[in-house]
Amino acid sequence: MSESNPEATSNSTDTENSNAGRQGRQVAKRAFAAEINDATHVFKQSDEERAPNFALLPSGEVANRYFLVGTVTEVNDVGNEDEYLQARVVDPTGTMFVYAGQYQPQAAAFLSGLEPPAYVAVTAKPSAFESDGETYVSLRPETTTRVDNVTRNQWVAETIECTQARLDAFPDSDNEFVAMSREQYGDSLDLDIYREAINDAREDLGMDVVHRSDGSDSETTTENQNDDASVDEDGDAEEEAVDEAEIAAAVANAEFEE
Amino acid sequence: MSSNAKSADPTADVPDADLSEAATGILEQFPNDIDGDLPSEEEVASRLDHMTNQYKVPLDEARRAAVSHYRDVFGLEYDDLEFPGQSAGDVTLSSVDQDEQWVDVTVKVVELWDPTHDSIDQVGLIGDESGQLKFTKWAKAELPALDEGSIYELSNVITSEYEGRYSINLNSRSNIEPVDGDIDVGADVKDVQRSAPMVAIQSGSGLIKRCPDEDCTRVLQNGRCAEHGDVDGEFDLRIKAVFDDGETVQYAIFDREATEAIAGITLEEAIEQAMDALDTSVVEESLIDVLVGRYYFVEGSIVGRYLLVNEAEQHR
Repeated sequence: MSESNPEATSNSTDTENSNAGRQGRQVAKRAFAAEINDATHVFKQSDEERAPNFALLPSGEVANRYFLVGTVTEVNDVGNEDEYLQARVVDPTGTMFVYAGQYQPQAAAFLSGLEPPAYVAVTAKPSAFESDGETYVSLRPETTTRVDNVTRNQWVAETIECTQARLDAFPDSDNEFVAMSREQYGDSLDLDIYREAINDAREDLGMDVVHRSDGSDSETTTENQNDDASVDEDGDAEEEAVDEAEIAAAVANAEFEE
Repeated sequence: MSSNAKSADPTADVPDADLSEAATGILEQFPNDIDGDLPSEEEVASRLDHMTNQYKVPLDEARRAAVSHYRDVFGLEYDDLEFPGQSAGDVTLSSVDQDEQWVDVTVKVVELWDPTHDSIDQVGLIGDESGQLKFTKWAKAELPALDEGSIYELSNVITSEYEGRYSINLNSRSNIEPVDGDIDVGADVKDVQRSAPMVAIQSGSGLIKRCPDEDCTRVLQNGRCAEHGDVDGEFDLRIKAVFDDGETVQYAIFDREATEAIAGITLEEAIEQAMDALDTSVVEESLIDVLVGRYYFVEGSIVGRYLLVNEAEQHR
């Protein structure tokens, strides 16, 4: 758990150096946008200066790193002076925001040359920032590559499985992160959101949708979700209508709590 | 910050006692029958003192540099040095996990291969109950021939490591004793298959240069070999990859052959790419573009923390 932590030194984001490798590398977790964006509680497990950050997934898992594949629909430079690129990465459940600046040279070069829409694989570190009382999740890429729809579908299928396994284990689990999720997300914790997300993903792949007998419908919202979130008749969650300009400005100016 | 109670000189970080002990250790490594006179212990100690206490070099590094210096002075090969007290004694093959360690093993010769170089007398596979390792018997060692299927006690052999894979070297200090009986050679059980996406390629991948010394093959850093200094390196291709199935991280190494197969690029093409760009790092960058983020079936052997890739294909 003592991985060299690039967040601690702003001028080094090279987590792929041999040093980090030697000390053990954090696993890249799989989660859908719906859950990643709700994983707003970011914390360290030790007091050490270079201790890694973890985002607490509501399903009772922690993530220092994600591996995800989605569709980049837009890339915008939201920087003030230096280039700071915001990419919207969409999966069947929602939109994630990936930000790359001068300390993510590989991703910045890749994104600035990318013509959306395109399937993109991303390994990224999560962080959270606040704006007007709302907590948003942003992702800082380590490696970004262009992939095809086969790879994209493999990721969706894999992430369905990983998410389902976490949700299945949740009710009877004595895992510390399940307890932490109950404590941190409390009243706003509604795992049906992620069951719905799985259904959306299954539908995307042309798989059968699992209907829950006791299924509370997907209009359930949480305090973490934007009030504007809506669901169309097919059960597809529409993109959350967050104020993009506000997020962009907040991110560009934010000193991430790292 | 100095807490060096042994030292009388407050500016000295390494006390005299340590220096003379190190000097004695160095002198013991040199054989008695060399051409010319060995330096005195004081002379060696003063050399170490110069490096450690004046130039602030760590004692281990100073010791290494001193050995290297005297080796040059007397025209000795690394293999000519003695390492009293450093032998790990009897070991099993699967327990070998250090480079350049002197060990004794009792093994069966599983296979003999055709030597690829005049300097190699015999090369092949040896095995004991715990597993199998490659061995190399150097021609200049002038040791008796090993027969396939026979059992031997090999003493004073030295381990070497290449890309996480260990092998056993027999040189002029080594001894071979035929032994009666048989050994039930353990299978190479560390062969594994993995299915996972590649989430990263680590630096040091792509087009690299290795030390041309046939015993060495270290990867050069800025044209320098850690053992042999400035050398004309030989180009090689490799990938240090990270596979991650969401549960565990698996480091993997693709050698030249495996790299060429998975990336569809030959060493010659990689050299051309680098020449055109005047920069070898373009090869690593293009490997990242072509390979990272995809799902793979990977098969190979686990050595230490690495999976040495035999076969890999994109999982579609």
